[in-house]
Amino acid sequence: MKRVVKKVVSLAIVSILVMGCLAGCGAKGSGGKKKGDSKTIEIAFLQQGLGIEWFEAIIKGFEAKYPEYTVQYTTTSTTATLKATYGLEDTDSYDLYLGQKNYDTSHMEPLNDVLEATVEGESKSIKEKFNQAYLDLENKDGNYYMLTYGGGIIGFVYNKKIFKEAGIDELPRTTDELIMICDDLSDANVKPLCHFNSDGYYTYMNQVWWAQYDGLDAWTDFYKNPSKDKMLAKDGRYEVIKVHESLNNPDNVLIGSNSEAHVTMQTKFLDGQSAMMVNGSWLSSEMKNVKSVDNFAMMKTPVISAITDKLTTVKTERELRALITAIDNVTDGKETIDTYKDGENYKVNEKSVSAADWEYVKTARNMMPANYAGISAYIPTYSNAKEGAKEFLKYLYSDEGYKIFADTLHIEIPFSLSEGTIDTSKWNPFEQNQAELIATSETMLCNLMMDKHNLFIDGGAEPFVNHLIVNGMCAQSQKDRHSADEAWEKITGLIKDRYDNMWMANIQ
Amino acid sequence: MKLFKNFHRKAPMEIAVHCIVSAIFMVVALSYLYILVWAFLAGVRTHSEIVFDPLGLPTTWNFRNYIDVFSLLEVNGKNFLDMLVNSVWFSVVTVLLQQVSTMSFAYCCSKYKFPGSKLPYAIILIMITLPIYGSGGATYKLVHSLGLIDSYAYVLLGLGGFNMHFLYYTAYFKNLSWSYAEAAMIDGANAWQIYLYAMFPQAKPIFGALFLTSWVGNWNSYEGALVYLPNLPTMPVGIYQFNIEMIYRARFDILFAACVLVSIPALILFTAFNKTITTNVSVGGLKG
Repeated sequence: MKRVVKKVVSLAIVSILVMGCLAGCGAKGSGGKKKGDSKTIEIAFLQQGLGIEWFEAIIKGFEAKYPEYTVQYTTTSTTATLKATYGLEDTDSYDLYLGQKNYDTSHMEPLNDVLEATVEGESKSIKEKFNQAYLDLENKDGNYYMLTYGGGIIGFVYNKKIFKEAGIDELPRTTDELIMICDDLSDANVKPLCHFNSDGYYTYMNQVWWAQYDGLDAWTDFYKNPSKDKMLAKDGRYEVIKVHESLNNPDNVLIGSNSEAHVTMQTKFLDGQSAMMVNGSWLSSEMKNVKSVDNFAMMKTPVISAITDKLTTVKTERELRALITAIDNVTDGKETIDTYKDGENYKVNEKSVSAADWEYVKTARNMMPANYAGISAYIPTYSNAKEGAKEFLKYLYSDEGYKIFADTLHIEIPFSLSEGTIDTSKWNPFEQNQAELIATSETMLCNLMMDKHNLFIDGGAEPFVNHLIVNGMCAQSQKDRHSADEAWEKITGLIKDRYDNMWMANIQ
Repeated sequence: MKLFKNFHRKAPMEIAVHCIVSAIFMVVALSYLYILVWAFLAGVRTHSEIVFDPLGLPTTWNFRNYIDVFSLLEVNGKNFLDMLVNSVWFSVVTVLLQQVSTMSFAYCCSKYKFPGSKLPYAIILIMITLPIYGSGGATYKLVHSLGLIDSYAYVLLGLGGFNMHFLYYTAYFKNLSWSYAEAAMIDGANAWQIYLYAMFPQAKPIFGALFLTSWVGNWNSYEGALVYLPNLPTMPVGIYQFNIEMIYRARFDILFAACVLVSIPALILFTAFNKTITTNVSVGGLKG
């Protein structure tokens, strides 16, 4: 009898083990974290520089307005964790992702109906409230799969006190002027620049200087219709590298910039150890526990001086600066366009400037790097609370929701209210400066457009091949340092090596 | 002093080697200790002090940071104590189930002859020799199908026995004399009683050592918890998320305070049981 019992028990244990092995062969959606009902919106939230307070405030406002919905959220600090679940249709229970740009739209719900919607009581649709240039970045064959909920502009942030003490009254209009200011700062025994490891945020600045030189259309075309010849051509990218050769030499850059983390260098920058640092709108919220940023401001992006190669009537640095001053006067409302209009052309300091040159430099001057398109909200197609998730997004982009966002974070996205503007009177000077720059920028440049060529998405191609240009220019050790020509040679060498063997192979 | 015990009986060369080796070990030990002391001191400084003078002593002593950790260290609504409870549950129970199942499995395979008794040994040898990559997606789907995502029952994944410890236990039991079992049989013990009262007590030191080393690894592990337990975060997951958050908030002081607090349980256990880990098995209880 005992033997029989033993055999039965052994058989039962073995059966359980075998069933465990076959458990993975179950039907789709069986077991695991059950998907919520259609009135429970589950959100995966990537928590980085923006923090979570604004998000919780939005949820509170949404649930108060739409009591039939309940919002649950899970936070993560890494993009990889979000991407690991997205696309796993039978296991993923999230209805809305608030993460980073994801080019894999195969499981994304189009948000066209969210954009076309007009929130009750408002006079404009959500689409009309968004900046059109930003929406163009998100347009993929007429559909919009992702919308931004954060990010900011990037530029040269400068220490106003150090500038004043060094006798610098005017902000640089061109890169040559920026380099001269670095000399003035060095003479005043101040380190002009700092950045953090792996070129800091210069990767954004490189894109703007390149687009300024070659023109926005040519820059966009590079991303949409790439070719090996275009990638190897000595275009605006080479001019950008030459700027860095002069700007980011070892004498101008704070030691430690090539190796330290971004918060460490930002702490040193706010402490006054360097006069300028390329940084973003998030500097204020990121460093609020360290030091106030009231003494800091971001300048308009200096225009790359080599742009005169592309102009016909403006050929010298002096003429270029004068033209930029005139353009700024019109943009800032100090003068009207009629002040400079001279028939079909323009007259600046008695010099005739063609309309084409005026427009070319104006576009360049009013370009700011931005990363809004890199911070994205999207809804998976397999969500069982799609309507609820879309209502949540509509609330986020309503005047009420956007006011909560802006009032909590003191930042703006390329978006406006249907009536009036965000009240920035209680924002600190740095935050107000950001709002002014966003308001006066014509182009918020970002290379994360949805319709760029697959060579740059699945192929893995990158115009500068992720080569650390700035690190190489200011390396303390001579053997790690490179000139502009050496950097360009390295980049083109890598392009020749990778174009067919890696990038094209990846997309075939 | 113990270090220099019986020195008078040793040859000069032996004394010299002893001194040099002791000095080297002292330096290594001090380097480990320095890291712990530095982390503790970083936890009482301000963020700016750590950035500007990383190796300096505190000018201000902000012990409040160690209290603030409890309120700031929060992941998905779970605070420090919640994460501590999760860590204890998942590390202790998982490892306990793992060790008990592995030891029992190894005992059966090494002490009893049945068809296939040698097969697990061969399978495990192959498993640890061949690198198996890319199984993450399949594993996630399996765990999801078993209903163990975000579940306290995730500990059941510790059951199985197919791991490297099987080899240790197998070797141990093979060298353990069957005379203990025979002695127990004479007293009328059945197979279960032989295992529980005669064999398992002999295996306590190795069980303890492997339990502790597994527990330390499990306590510090965050990859599994990050993927499978997003709403039941453990301490390492909390520190991992906290690390990234504190970087964006520029609070290195709070980060290091949290690291020190999280390392305390492992330090206490290791200090208390380090001898158990290094003790050899002693053979006794046999006559004739």
